[in-house]
Amino acid sequence: MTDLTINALFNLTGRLPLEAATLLFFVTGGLLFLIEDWRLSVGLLTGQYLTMGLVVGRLLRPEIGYAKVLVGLFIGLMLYLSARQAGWRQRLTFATHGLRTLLTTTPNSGNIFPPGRAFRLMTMLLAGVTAVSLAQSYPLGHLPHTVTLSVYWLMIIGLLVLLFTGHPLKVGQGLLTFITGFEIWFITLEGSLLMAGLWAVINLMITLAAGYLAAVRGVNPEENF
Amino acid sequence: MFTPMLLIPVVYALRRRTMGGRLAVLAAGGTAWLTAQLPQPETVYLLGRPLIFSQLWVFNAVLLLSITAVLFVSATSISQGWSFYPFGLVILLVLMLAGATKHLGISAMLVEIAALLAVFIIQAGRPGSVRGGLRFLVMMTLALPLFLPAARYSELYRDRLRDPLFLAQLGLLVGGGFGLWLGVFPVHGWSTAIATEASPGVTAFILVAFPATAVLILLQYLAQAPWLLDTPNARQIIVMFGLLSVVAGGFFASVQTRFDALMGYTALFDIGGILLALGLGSQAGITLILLGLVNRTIGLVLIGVNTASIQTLTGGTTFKQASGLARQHPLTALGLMVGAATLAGAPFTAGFVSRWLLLRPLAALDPRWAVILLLGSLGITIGYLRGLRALVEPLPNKPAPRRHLRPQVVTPALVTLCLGIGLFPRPVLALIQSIIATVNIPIL
Repeated sequence: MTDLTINALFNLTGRLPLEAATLLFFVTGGLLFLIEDWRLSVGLLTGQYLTMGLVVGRLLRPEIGYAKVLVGLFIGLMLYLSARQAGWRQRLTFATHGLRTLLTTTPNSGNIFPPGRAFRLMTMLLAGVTAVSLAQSYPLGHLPHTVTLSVYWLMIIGLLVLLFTGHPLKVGQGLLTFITGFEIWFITLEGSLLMAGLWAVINLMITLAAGYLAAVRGVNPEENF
Repeated sequence: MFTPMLLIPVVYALRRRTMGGRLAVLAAGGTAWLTAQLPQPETVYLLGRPLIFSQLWVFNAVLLLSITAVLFVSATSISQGWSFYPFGLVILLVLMLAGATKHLGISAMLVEIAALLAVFIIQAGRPGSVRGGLRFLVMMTLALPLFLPAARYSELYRDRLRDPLFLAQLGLLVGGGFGLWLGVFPVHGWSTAIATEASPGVTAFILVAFPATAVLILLQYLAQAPWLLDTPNARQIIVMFGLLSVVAGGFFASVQTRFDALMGYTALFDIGGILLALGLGSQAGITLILLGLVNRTIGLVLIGVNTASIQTLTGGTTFKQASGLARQHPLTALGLMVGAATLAGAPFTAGFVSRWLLLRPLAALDPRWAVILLLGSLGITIGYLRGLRALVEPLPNKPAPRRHLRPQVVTPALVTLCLGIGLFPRPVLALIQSIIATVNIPIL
């Protein structure tokens, strides 16, 4: 029954154009860079893995896509539990505050967006332009243009997330985003079972290591994500 | 060969007891002994991939396993974190597998897995700063996307392409990846951060095991892809980064005021020496790399074990905290200084042989390189002499209460080994040369 449901889901999403997947990557990656709310971040990262599963499933075999989706769900769960264990309590959530309130409050009043958001927004736009120009100048041979764009975007935005934070959980998310971009490209080059297995182990262990560091570091109520 | 490693689950279960430490020593020492008995070369297939246990691999594995056993012995009297025993063994096992597989991509992924496991022993449950673990996690992960395309493109270049530009790109990928793994200047941040944050024994383990495995993989990769050395200016680039590491390591070591930070910069200086030996581009250079690894291992473990003693005795590793310690614990001060002298290349220590053998050909190539290496050594010497000055200072009238510590049994043994190799280097050199003869490593 479960298998049937997953198959049906893949059949349905299999019709999703790759452009839509690229758009999803831009949205999830961009928001991951911009926001500090841990619940949203974990959700976005999980969404990123689900999209990756769909893309990889279409480019290679659906089974590999399933595996990526499963790994993504595990990663989301592990990050969620780690953040909870770290005692993390962000001040505002969508559940208690409307989106409008969140977007209009000042940076120091507990916004989900970290301080310097205009700068981050500009940086993100530049990253987008860089990704587009890289995809045009250096296409990744065998990949469709939209997937190439996704690969560059995810790698660049992952590095930016890494550069803009010192918190282990966010660093982990940056690394995972960077690795996701790279993996989409590389797994289509070398998609052996051993490699796929090692990729899954590495993804899960990055999450575990980042989660562990976040848990032992604890929370400083003054800091941002 | 790996049978003693079956003890790992038991070690994990007993990690908080002395028995756990003893079993860990048994597992590491037993595997080292069995590995040394291996008929060579041996090829085993795992998941359809060949694992080749060459003489070079055996040399590296025995070195790492033995020194880990020594660190475990030390850790039974000075705890380096309970997870050190089981995680240390698993990390070694994964690194040994990484060294045995001849596929650069798979090796890189296994080293990444080992690095991710190492994050747990670096932090070891300590609350507060996570800088060391985080930097190691990031740097090692960033190396992965450099190695995987490099492995792929190597095959492509070997089979079809012979484009110089393509080769230069390949050289950049491989060089960048190994630079991150070795902690070469300016991407050395992980090694110095670990040195200041992790337990000294764990620091010594990481700073020995990962670079040693990286060097093994590099040499094996060069044997498989000798054309990589045709990369334009390969030798000059290697030497340049070697010199930068030597200068940065020496300079920053000379101004440190903590023994743990000093260890990190000493390791950076030593990596510079290894790169310079590689840059020599001769068979002698390869000999010096392996001899350098032996010295690095002994030197860093001596420093690590004795810095751990200082930390336990005084509650910290600053020069001020260690003030006057040599008067109460002369063996600790001796071990620390002999380890430092080895890495600085002081006469009568193991390090002198490799530094002397490195200086002569370097001076022949460019005398300025030799002078820079000597200046780096001077920086390390100044750093440790400042530490020694604090250690031998007269004790204050009312010395702060210090913890009792069982004498470190490993220090006299390692000091003897270090001085022994310094005075009688021929057996070690002969062993290394016999190993190199079995590996077809090209010269630059």
